This record gives sequence, C-alpha cells and structure tokens, in this order.
Amino acid sequence: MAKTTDAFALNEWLVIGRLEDVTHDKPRITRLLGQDIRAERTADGTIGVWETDPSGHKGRALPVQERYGHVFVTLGETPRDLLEMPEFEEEGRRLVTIGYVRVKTSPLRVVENFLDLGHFPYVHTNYLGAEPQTEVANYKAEIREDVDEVWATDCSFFQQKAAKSATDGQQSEYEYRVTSPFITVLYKTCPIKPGAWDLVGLFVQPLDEDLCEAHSFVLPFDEENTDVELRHFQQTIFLQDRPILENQLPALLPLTPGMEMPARADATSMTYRRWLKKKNITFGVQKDAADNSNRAA
Amino acid sequence: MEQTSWIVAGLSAGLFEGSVMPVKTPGKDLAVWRQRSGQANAVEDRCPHRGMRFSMGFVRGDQLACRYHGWEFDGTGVCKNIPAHPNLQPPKTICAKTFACQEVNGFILVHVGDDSAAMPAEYSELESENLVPVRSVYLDASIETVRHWLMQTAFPPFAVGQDGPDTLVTYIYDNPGENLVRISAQTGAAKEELIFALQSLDDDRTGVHVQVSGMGSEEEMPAVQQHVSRWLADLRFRLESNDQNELNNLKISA
Repeated sequence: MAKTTDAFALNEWLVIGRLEDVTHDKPRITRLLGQDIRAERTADGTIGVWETDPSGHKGRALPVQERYGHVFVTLGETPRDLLEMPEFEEEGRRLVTIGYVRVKTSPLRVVENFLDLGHFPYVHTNYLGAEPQTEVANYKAEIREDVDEVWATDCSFFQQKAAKSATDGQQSEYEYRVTSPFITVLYKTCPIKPGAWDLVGLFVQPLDEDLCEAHSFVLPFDEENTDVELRHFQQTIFLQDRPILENQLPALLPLTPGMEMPARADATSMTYRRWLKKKNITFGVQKDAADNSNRAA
Repeated sequence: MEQTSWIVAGLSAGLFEGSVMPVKTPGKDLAVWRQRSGQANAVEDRCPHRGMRFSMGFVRGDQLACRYHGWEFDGTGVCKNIPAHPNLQPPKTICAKTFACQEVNGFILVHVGDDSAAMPAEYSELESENLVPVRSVYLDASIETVRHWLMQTAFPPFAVGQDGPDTLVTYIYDNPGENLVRISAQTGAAKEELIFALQSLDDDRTGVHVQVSGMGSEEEMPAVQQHVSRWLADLRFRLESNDQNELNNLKISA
C-alpha cells in the first residue's frame, strides 16, 4: 500500500526497531504506515532514517529519537510527544529489549490484545492464567483527558507464572496505560519486590493496515534471570498470542458498534476503541459495515 | 462460481464427537462441529465477541468454546458461558450466526442460503443400508471441471471388472443434483455404486466426499476403501496436472 493519509497516525512517534538493530554493517530496511523506509547508523554514531522509493533510493530524511532502547521516527510535521516513562531513571531496574514478532493483522488488534485480561487462562495457560480461575474482577477504565491517555486501574488476576522471576502463583495487580494507538505500557506487581511495579512495554510498528511488528521491552527489578531468560519468557507469551491475532475476522479493528459484542471485562478495550474513534483514526480500522467480509485478507 | 443454498460440508464419518472443522464456501467461512451427544452443527466461523475463528476453538460437552476467551455457545448459537464473568447469565443478544445442518445418509449438509429451499431430495434418495464412507479429497479444480470429468471417467474404481477383461459390466452415470454424481456398475444382478458429493470451496477448489455401496463384505471394505482412495489420488494428480493427455485418459473412449 502507499503511505497512509491518516493525519493522526502520521503525526505519531513510531518505533522502527531496537538501537542495536541498526549497525554500521547493517541498515534496517522496513516500512511504516505504508511508506518504505531505511535506517542507517551514520558516521557520527547516531541513527538516520529516510523514506525510500520503490527502487530503494533515499528521499526525505525523517526526524529520529533514540529512546527506551529503541528508535522512533515520525512521518508527520507536528508530532505528538513520545510518552514519558520516568521509571527508566529508577535505581535497580533493568531494561531488556525483546525484539519483535511480526503479526499479520491490524496494529490496533495487537494493542487491544495486550490490554485484555480475559484471554489469559485460554491463550497463556499456566503462565498468565488457568481455569477455573477465569473471573475478571471489576476494574476502572477511563480516558484521562489531561494527559490524553487511556488508563485501566485496579486490575487483578490470579497468575500461575506471572513473570520469569515468579516461582508460585500470585494475585497480580495490573495497571494499563495507552499513550498512543500503537504504544501501551503495563505496570504489574513485582513478584520479588513488595510494593513495586514491573513494566512491560509494547511498541507496535504499523507496516501496513493489516501488518505490523510488535516490539517490546521489560523494565523489572530482577537480579536472578539473564537477559536471554527474560527475553524468552516474553517471546513465549507473544508467540502464544500470534495465532489468535492472525485468525480474527476481520483483520482490521471494527469500531462500528454491534460488529463485536463486548462484556464488562472488555472495559479497557471499549475505552481504547472509544478513544480511537474520538481521534478519527482510520489506519488499521475496518472501513464500514458493508466491508464486514467473513474472510481473512 | 456456484453458490447453492445447500452445500455438502463433509462426510459424517469425518467429523468426530467433540471436534470442530473449518468449512469453506464461496460466500462465507463456516465452522462445523459435533456435540459430544452426537448432533452436528454449523456456525459462522467468527466468534461474535472479538471475531476469532470458531474453527480453532474446542468443544466442551454440547457447547462450542472460542479459543480466545473461552466463551461457550450451544448448537443454536446462543452464548451460555462467559468465563470472565462466571456468575453472569450471558445476555440473549450475544449469539453466533448459525446455519441449518442435517446429516443424511452419511453426508453433512448445511443450508448456507438466505432462501427457504428444502434440503435437496437426491441425498435422502440414496440407499442407506449399505453405504460405506471412503474419504474426502480436495482438488484444485472448479466444481464444473470435477463434475465434468467424473461424469465421463472411463475407469471408475469398481471391484467388478478387476478380475479380468471378460466380465460384462454396464456403467451408468447419473448427476441427480448439481453437486451429486452417482456412478454404478451393473453385473448381472449385482450392482456396485460410487457416490461423489461435490463441495465448491471457491472458483478453483472443490471438495469431493466419497461413499460406496455394494462393493463387498465388511471384511473386504478396508481393501475397497484403499482401492478407491488410490483412484482418487490419481484423479487429483490428473486434474491438477493440466495435462490434456492425462485428462483425456480419464475420458470414456468412444
């Protein structure tokens, strides 16, 4: 597809990879919102990103930010600020970047799945949940107008193996924060440090409306496990989600009421959809009811 | 492309108790599943909650559960259980779109049209006493092509005529409905029959669901099924090879 005309999506800071994925030896050649791009490590050690034409020639240079272990770029002229995560400055935390999983679906479906508590016992069996403890207790979901973010608080779920560092089941407390249609962070009870939250972040790179790469990181208090162990745990979780995400029909996220029937447990998803609708985002959204084809793309 | 209001979705013997299978039709994707108590059902292949394919789900007792959140639906498509809210009676508004599903003489038939067409009579007219299911095969050819070649195949895989060239066999080709082909072989008083139910998946793909009758005793059936299966594999090779010589070999010689 060609570069999107969705003004909101164009003016977001979007992930295109980890810092270490762009080296002097190896550029990252990828796509963003339908636009082919190329990221290179320049002579001064910083990362440059350019739009490229179909034959791979560099065109317009794009604004770049190197933050949170990742590279962010924007295709727009007046981008909204990238989220702030003050926890990155906290003593004792460790950043482990996970890499990405390519998923053939709308980037919005991937974010919505990340916000979902009800699927834990069925998709992440014996990791993030298991029958018969399937109940999703009431929690609070809201759009915080002052910061223009979606938040879900007071979430809790009984988990068999909530994190790599967990040895027993625990009642995990969760908070979800959505700062962009493509970026969300989960704050979760730390299994080894009472009162502290571990962070799990999801940066979704929208390649096309129905194709994305889900980049993620963890920022826990954890001195026991190696980076590789933490990475394997998160990758296991993401790979359990992928077959689900690639079998939802339609692939694009429906925002028309009645096309999908939520329950109370879906309050975060409903709030996220309401927020997307308010922003008039069209990228990755099912276009109209007549389009409701019962076929995968 | 053909879209009839009733389609054949498979062989009854191919759908086990407690299992669910995806069924393609030119217009829509279905999930066909069998309750533990035996009843077969057809539902749109999409959970009304978050659009997940039901065909990747699982059967619990007499209910079909979605793989994503475990929501359970009965044979009429009504949601009976939302695990996230165990104490909640699911609202009646939450239901999956279902299609009439009937099993007739070993075939699973599904009414996919919006019309009120009655089930095609040719399926109930099959002699039911001694039908034996063989298998389903899926061919990269249109339903018209498959029907065409079945109706003029020169060497249908009957048991008679295998003993030598001197047996006098009369073949009868019948196409009693647009998706049913019956080929019988009459040898004196004995009659063998091959029954092919055709399922259009899309313009270029066709499912063929095969049963036989009168082709031997119960002990002989495994050999008969193998023989017919081998013939079907050969038919598939020839149809998919696009080789006119190969296709001509299927024809009845003039």
